[in-house]
Amino acid sequence: MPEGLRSPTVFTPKTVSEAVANKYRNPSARFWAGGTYIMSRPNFYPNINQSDIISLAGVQDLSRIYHADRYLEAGAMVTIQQLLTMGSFIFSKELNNAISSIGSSVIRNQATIGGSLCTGDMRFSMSCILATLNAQVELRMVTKSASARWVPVSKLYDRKGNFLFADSALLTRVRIPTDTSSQFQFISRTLDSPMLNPSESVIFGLQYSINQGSIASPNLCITFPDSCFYMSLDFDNLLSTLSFPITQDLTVKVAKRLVADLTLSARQNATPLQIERAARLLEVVLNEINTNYLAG
Amino acid sequence: MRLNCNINGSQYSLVVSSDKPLSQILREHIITFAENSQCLGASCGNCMVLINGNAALSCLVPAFKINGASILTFEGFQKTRFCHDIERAYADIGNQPCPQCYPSKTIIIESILNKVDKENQNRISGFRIGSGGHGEIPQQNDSAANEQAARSRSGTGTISTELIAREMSMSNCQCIEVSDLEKIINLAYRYRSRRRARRS
Repeated sequence: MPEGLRSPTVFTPKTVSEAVANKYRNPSARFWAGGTYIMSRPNFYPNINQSDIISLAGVQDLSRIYHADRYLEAGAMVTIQQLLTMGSFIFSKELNNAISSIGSSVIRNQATIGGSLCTGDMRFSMSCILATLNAQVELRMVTKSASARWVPVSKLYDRKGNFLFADSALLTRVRIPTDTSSQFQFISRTLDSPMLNPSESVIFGLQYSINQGSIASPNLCITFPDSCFYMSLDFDNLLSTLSFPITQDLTVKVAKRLVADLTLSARQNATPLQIERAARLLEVVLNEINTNYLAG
Repeated sequence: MRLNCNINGSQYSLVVSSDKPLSQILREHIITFAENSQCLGASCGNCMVLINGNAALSCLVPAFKINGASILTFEGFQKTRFCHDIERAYADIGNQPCPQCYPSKTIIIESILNKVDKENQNRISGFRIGSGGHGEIPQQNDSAANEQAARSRSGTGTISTELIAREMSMSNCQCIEVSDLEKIINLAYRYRSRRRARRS
């Protein structure tokens, strides 16, 4: 061990309450789920400022999956691979493809749902997918009473993509709507690897239905891993005014509006390439929806 | 922290920092560890090991997670008969990864073979165990699944290019074509299935 470096204390709680109590007593300690993000940061080790670790691997409640009629509820420590295995029975093909595109099985076996939502300054595919699907998460607040509350995934981040509950809460469960009777369709695209090339990567998700010849209840989410988490009610309203057939002019007009919105929302370090890619992705997806509708 | 683990069949008891990456532990304590990863966690894919039989990037695994685990590096894996299947497939196809990524690609191939094996066993047994402990979910007993199971029993099944490309995305080195890898993996899988059939 390098001189001056102390080995961080590892807490191994067995229950959620114990984990929250550990965090309450040691505010500088960090929750440790899969560790793929934390350990892939440059200069992770050796680091003189390493804080203590609260390993959540032993908390059984966080590794459960429960499927009800209208939703799937997964503990925060369920790995992406487990979600995929379970999802192959429940989710649509498009959603399964989106989840499997998160990485190879080596990464998916280690990365957890909770961990992928709670990374401090980077947004990966999981947050975009779950926000698009209107998923909700349960947060256990790090207070003496450890009160719990459910919030939509979209409320976990600010517009620049920063995680808002980094030290104040423990994410325990995720509830993903799986109502197969609904007419909602889901489209997701990821350009470039969010982990390896965050400055050029774009993650795009859109859920919508079609009602009386127009797009209804759209829910659009666009993420640049290190600079933007974009969800806008105004823009969703704009999309819901589109009726078929969607002309090329209209598509370009909507894409231009998206570029203007993203330029305002994104951090300074969002690259023009990312903004351009997001606009082109929207154009491609709108054309795809239009073609599918016209083809019947 | 004191760490007890089994590395390549030998028992080790080490005193290390609890958050030290496994790749560094192997590099400093296991002299024969041949991995040549210098990416320090940027997922170059060259530090692949098998932890309790599952492939993992050793640079993403902290010391406190491997207490009591069984770790197999490429050096250890090379001595197993599973590695011989893959090496035989390399020789038969006439192509193999470059020396830089040979260990990691071989271990990724092993993990693909394990994954396909496990899926086929689930299909053969007719149901798949749910991952969350809330009971088991019956699998669709459709004819396609039965056909795939029959193919895997006879060792004539094929592994999709898409799956191979996705799994190989862990290794950045492009020294070998995906089409060749596909042939190698399918051949290795066939050797393994035949041996299993002979034994049973």
